[in-house]
Formats: sequence, structure tokens, C-alpha cells
Amino acid sequence: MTRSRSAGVGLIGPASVLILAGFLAPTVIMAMLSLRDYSGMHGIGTDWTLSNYIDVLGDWFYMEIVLRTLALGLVVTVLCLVVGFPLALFILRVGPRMQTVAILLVIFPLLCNIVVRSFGWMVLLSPRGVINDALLNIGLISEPLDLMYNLTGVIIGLVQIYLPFMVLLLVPALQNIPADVEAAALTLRSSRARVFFTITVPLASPGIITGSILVFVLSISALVTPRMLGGPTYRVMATQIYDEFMTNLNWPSGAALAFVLTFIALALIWAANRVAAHLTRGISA
Amino acid sequence: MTSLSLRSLTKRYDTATIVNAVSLDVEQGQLVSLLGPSGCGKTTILRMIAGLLDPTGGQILFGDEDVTALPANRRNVGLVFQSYALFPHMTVFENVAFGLRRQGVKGQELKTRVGEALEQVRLGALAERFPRQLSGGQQQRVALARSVAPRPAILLFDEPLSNLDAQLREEMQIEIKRLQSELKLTSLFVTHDQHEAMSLSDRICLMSGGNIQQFATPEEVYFSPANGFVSGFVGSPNKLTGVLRDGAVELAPGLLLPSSRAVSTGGGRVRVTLRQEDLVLAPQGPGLPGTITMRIFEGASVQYIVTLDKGPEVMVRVSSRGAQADLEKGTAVAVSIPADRVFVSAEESAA
Repeated sequence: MTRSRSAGVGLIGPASVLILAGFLAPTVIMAMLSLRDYSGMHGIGTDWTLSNYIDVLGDWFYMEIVLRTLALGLVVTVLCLVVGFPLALFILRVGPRMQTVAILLVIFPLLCNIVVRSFGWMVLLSPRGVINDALLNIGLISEPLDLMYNLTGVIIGLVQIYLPFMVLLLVPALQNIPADVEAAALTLRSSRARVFFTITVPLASPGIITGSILVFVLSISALVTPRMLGGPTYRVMATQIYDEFMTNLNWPSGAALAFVLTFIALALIWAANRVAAHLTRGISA
Repeated sequence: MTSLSLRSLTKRYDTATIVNAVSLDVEQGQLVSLLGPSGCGKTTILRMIAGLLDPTGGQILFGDEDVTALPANRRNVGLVFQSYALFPHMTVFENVAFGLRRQGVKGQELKTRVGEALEQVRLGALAERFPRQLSGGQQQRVALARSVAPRPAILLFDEPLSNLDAQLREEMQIEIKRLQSELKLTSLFVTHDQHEAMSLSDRICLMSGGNIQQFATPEEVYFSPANGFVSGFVGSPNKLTGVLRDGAVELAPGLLLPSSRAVSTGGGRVRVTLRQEDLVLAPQGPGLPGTITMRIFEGASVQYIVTLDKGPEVMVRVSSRGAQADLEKGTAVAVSIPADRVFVSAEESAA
């Protein structure tokens, strides 16, 4: 008994220390920081206040950033789903050799640093970049398209970067659909389109929901890609938090903004789980 | 309700022929079993009839209508799967209603029709459950109700009882037989289990290697097997080899077994199949002499392993209430068999 208990403590010990020192303690420090008063003259004060949160939630400047971030996350998630679903179905249904190749191709971009990938997109999307040059040369457009330093550029970049996560979660979800269920629906007079929407999609919903949550949370907290492809003036929550800390040196405000982002993410995860529980009440125990 | 005909139905993958020009007629209201070992092409045939696989050649007819080119959702078949294939995210009611809704049935009529179908499989009380809350047998009964509710022209079964335990399997057999004859549904039943095929079918189509070996009533398949494959597959036979000599088979030098089914008289080696239940044991007298080397009590029957003097071992099955039920190990016996129960076939054609 005592031996197994000490073994248990030994096993979870390192992870516990890491979480306490590396996650919990900084979070508590940041939470306290977000409740400190701040003034341009004196920096971080010693009084407790909610004004940092009130500023964020009451100021249209910040609210616009919050809403833009949520809209960005939503669009990226939906696009990843729309692009990723057919890709996941393809991976599942091709022969074993093609399947390995396809999965490797999906994973491959993950091996490349995110800064490098974002730079790659800048080369492609900039006003005199590869895409605009090509379109100008074949005469499809007369002026360069605004593909960068705006929402379009950020969405393109984020979809490409987070698509692998979506696909890698959708493949096992589709794989888990019991054999013959789709065939059964076909013999029960359903067209292929109907089978897809009434059988395949609902049965893949656990994977769809997990993948969507993951892509959404990663998108709303992404810093590098929005900064590089959105440009210095394109603000989402992550870039604003970075600026509060590093440019404005207003740590309490940055911390408050960070907690607002965290709470939004947690609330959405909770809501998505409730929806998932309802949708999959027949599937999972 | 309609008849089902296959005309030279063929399925090939690259060079492998899975189904080789199979022609078959199932009369209206009959239940025909496709029986055979795994890989004989029976499930492939079923899936082609359902429209889930495209045939390489040949035709499928429902009555006079050629359905070969019709997609699965327009064929009006019911298919019961081995894996049940219920929709796990729908209640029992919604599962059964699924096909009916596609036919435009709704409102009160939908409720009535689903209720009827569930009553037919005695599951009326479980309509609001989800499939995973049901036992395997109940799930298969839901699958049965789901496939008969839209009143299909042809009902197909793909080894529907294989995932059930022995007792439940027997109950479900009776259930299927009752429902099928009540609704007079033209049915094709795929199975590898000869007992299932025997007890359910009006006719059995025994298959091997993509070809039909025999298409006949269960009695004919059992008592008059068409060839060595059939005699080796049906019953629980002893499979021996011997040499053909003038209407008898020589199992070992001096060990002669008379056979009225010896088709050719030559010196060639042949496969002999003897059903365990056809062999007769006697303490002495005419027959092949041997010694009991093992006795296995099976409940309704007793199985003996008898080593023939100078020859091979044979398995013999007798009734456990019969006179020969209590023979001890080491007892000398005489094994005899009616000459018309000795099935002889060329060695290579036997399974």
C-alpha cells in the first residue's frame, strides 16, 4: 500500500511540479497583475481594481478587437472544416499506399516553423508577390489584389496552418463510423447526399466538434501569423495583448485582456461540449 | 413482392474472379440461402443485388425489371447486416422510420407503420431507446424491423446471426422464418452455417470459388450431394482418401468399403466423405473392424473416435439414448455404412 502510494507520487511528481511552477503560478501572478491599478505616470500601482476589465469590456476600441478576433476564429474554423472534411474522406478511402503519402503531406507543413510559413505566404500574397504577378501577367486583373495586411491574408494563412489539426482529428472520427451504416442508409432509399448529411456528418460530430474547438482556440490566440500577414496595424486580441505588454508596457491591461480571451475560449469549449453531448447522446456512453 | 433472377452475374477484381457467371432464380415468396465457406463469393453476390457493388457482367432482375444499372437507393431492397448497422445516433423509432420517411410516409401513418414493424419483432416497448441500450439480439430485431418496414421487393440477409450466441441464434432463426413467411417476402440469406441454411431455406444454393455447386432443397443437398465439395461441406463428414476398386473404395490395403456412388472404376486415388451420423457401430459382425480410442459425450449425441485396424481414424456420432451410447474406450467394434452413403469424388475437387 505505502509502496504503491509512494510509487504513485513519484510518477506524478515531476508533472505536478512542472504544472505548478510553469502554469499555475504564472497564471495566479497574471491574475493578480490584471487587478492592479496602472497609470502612465507611475506604472503598476499597489491598489486592487477592476478598472482594467471594465476598460476592456466598456471600450469600443477593445470590443472591436474582441469581436474581430471571434469572427476571425469562426471563419478560419468553418473554412478548415469545409476544406478538411473532403480531404479526410479522401485519406480514409484511398488505397493504403496513397493514404500514407496523403497523411505525410498533411503533416509535413507542421514540421516547418510558423514564422517561415507566414513569410512564405507573404511572398505569395504581397502586392507584387507571386499570385498577383501571375494574375497581372495573364491579364485577369489590372491592379494587384489586396491579399495581405487585411483579414483575407490572415484567414488564408491561418487556414493553411491549422488545417492539419482539423484533418488529423477528422480522420479517426470518420474511421469510427461503424461499418455498413452508410450502406444501410443507401439501401433505405437515401441518396448519397442525404446519407452524407443525415448519417456521415452526425456520426463524425465528435471529431468535428473537437477539431473545431482546437482550430478555433488556436486561431483566436494566434500571434505570429496575424502580425505578419495582417501587418502592424491589424489588431486581434493576441497582437493587442503583445502590444500592451511590450509596447505600451501596460501589463495590467494586457493581463486583463489575456484573461478575457481565456474566458471566451473556456465558455466556448463548455458550450461546444454541451452541444456535442446532445448531438452524440446515442453514440457515446 | 417479386421474384429475383440472376443472369450470368460476374464480379472480377483485376485477375481474380470472385463470382463466376452465376445464374439463379428465387421464386416469389421463397427463402433461398447462399451457403458456402468464406471467400466463396456469396456476400459479393448479395451486395451486387443490393446495388452496393457494381457487377463486372451479367444481369439482376426483380420480376421482369432489370435493375442492374439502378443505384442502391432506387432498388427497393431490404438488407439486414451481420453488424446490424443501426444508426447509433437515432432512436429505435427513428431507425425504423428512416426508410419510411424516404417513401413520403408521415404523421399518423408513419407512427402506425413503425409501430407495426416493431410489433412484428416484439420490440414495441423499446421505441424510444438508442441502439446501444439494447442487447445484440434486440439490435438485430430492430434491424429486421427497419428493413421490412418499407415493404421491400426483395429482402437480403448478410450473415445476420453470426454475431449472436447459439441460443439467441436459434430464436432469431425462428423469428426470421416466421416474419418471412407471414410477409411472403422473397428473400436471399447469406450464411456459412449449414444448420442455419438447412433450417431456414426453401432451397439452398451451395457455393464454392465463385461457382454454384448445387442448387436444391435442403433434403436433396443433404441426401444427394451433387459432388465431392457438397458432400464434404454438408453434415460433419469424415474426409478420407482411398483407391477405387470395382464399386468399392480401398482405404488401406485390405480395407474395402463398398460404395454405390463410385462414379468411375479405375485405379485412381479418390476422396471419400462419410457422415459421422451415417456410420453404424456394432459390437461385432460385418463391417470394418476397429477400436474405440475416445468417447465424447455431447448431450443429445455421443461421438466416438474409432481407429480402424490397419487403417485411418474415423469419427462416429450416435444418439446418446441409443444402444451404442456407452461403449468404453478400448472396446473392439465393427463399423459399417450403407453403400449409398459412401460419397466418392475425385481427390482434387474436394474441399
